[in-house]
Amino acid sequence: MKNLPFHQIIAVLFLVPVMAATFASSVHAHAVVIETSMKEMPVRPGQATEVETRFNSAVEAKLSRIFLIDIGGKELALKITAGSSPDRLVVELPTLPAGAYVFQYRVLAADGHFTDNALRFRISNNP
Amino acid sequence: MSYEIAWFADDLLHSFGLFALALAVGGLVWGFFSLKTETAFSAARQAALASSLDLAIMGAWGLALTQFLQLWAKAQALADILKISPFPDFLDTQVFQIGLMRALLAAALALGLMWLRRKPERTGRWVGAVALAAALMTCGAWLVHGASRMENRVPLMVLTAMHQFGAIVWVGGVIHLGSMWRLGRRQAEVARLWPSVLARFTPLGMAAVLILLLTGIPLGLWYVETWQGLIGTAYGSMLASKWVLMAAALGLAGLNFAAARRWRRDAGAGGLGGIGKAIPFYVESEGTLLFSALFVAATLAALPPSVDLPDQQATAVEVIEAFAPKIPRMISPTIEEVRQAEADPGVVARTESTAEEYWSDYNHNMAGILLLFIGLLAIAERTGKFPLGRHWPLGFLALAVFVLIRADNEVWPYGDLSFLEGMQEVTTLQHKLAFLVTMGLGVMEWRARNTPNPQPWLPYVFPALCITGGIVLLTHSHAAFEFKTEYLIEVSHTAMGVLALLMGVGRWLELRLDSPAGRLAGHGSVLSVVLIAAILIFYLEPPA
Repeated sequence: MKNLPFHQIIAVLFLVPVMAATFASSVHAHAVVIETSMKEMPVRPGQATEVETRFNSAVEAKLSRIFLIDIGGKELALKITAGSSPDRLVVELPTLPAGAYVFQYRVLAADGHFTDNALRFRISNNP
Repeated sequence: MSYEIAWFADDLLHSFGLFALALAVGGLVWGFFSLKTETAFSAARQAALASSLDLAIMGAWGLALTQFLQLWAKAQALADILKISPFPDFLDTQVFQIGLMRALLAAALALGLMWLRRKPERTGRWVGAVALAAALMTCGAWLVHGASRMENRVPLMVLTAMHQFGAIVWVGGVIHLGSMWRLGRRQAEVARLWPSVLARFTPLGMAAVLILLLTGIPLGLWYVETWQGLIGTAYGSMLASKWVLMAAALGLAGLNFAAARRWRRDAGAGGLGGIGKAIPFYVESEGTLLFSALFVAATLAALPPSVDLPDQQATAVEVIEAFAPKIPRMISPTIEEVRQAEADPGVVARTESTAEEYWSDYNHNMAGILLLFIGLLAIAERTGKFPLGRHWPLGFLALAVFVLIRADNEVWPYGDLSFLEGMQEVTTLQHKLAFLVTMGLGVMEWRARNTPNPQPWLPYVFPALCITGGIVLLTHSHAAFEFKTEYLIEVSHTAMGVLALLMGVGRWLELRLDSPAGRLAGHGSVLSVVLIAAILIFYLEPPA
């Protein structure tokens, strides 16, 4: 038992990546939003606006996507442009009624890691 | 290809890329310090060096391949997200340019190592290979997290690249040491050389650990910042897991160090003796732990640092509560109650329903009770007073059936979907595969323990699967939406991942070593089973 042939050890250890590949689901929250302009300038109902989001790392604006999801689960791809620094994206929001929404963002960080994450926000009638 | 699959492939390739880097660059450093000791080589030293360089060449080609494949996987993911070709924008990114350069440098290193292998006595060829390896390591600094930070970018890049270097020298050295021992089993001259090489590797290994510590501490302070960041975030807990694995590996390294010192003190008078008996197996297990630590490191690199989530960190009390003893849930909610609770308010106003939580609590708690039963039977067997205890692996069959029935309530026998229809969904498919693996684990370990002359590989399946399971639990993460809530679920899975690894390594050592060391390692393995059972028994879904 103590003298296991090398090729058999390799065969047994090969199970590791194979099983890992079968079961693992990976982490996809690398570049997270740490600040948005909505805090200073809340989005108003019925008013198209631009929202600037700041990430914890530089992101590739041309290779990122942000979707808006409403309470009914309807998804809308939003137009995004690069912000004032590499860690910022500017999101164009259409006119929206008051309610709860989610930004679903899929971004590529400058170091090559992907993020699939979401950010909740609310549009309120109250100023 | 869906972006999720492409991302997953990218992450997996990243882990294997680190391993390949350790084989290549770690192997080169190891070869230089441990084997290239003189200009005139003995036949044994030549054979050992040739074999080591072969492994390093394989690593360098492997890195080139994984790096190319990573670029391909990223392009596939982007194509699915953007719904158009990511080119030419992708070509302009730092990721693509540095990734391509790194792949080409890895290929150049492979060719350089092949050139070196022809005449390893020539110092100029070593210098050439080392220069290529240095360029490769430097290039990698643009692909670490620090490279995308807006503040302290350069110091973070330098520290991370040095940290990576320390890690790959340690991991690569240990793997090459193990490989040389394997060669020594076929060539007596190489076997005689092995203790002296082990002794030469010891200071190199210590230097690598020192680099790891000296660079890891400031990186930890930068990215984690506070104790709560360490305890209360996924990043912090993964970092702590890495420390535990490395501490365990360091413990085994300490045994190697002591053996090498004894051998040196006796001037090799005792021949291979004890050094050839147990140390190779410690090296093997140290390599396994370090291999796992590389996977953890790759996962860590993909997580948002604790410092970026100041408002979403769990408190120490909340984390302790996740592990604190509680009365397990022994009664499951009915499927009707779960259905009623599943009136999903949607992703926008997501709340966890109580019946769903109870369903999950019951699943975890009952699985823990089954596992505790398995662990207690294994302990009973080890006392030698309960021979029937040797059938403990059959308990995994019960556990597997439980997983099959309870894991997916929307699929047969609880849900409307048939068994085959359920397989279309990734999570359900994963649970069915978990069922098969758990079944296989139980059957194979039972056969290994209850067959008079089992196949030599059979007893190793159980520890290998435990190690696999441990890596999967450690690298698995729940979808990041509510960081704190998800983390409080994840923290118990992370602890179980570390314990599963220790369980696998303990059992592996038990198979490899003679008593009492082997038996002691086996006790540690069984203790890990009981601790995993306890975590499951006290598991409660955190409030949403």
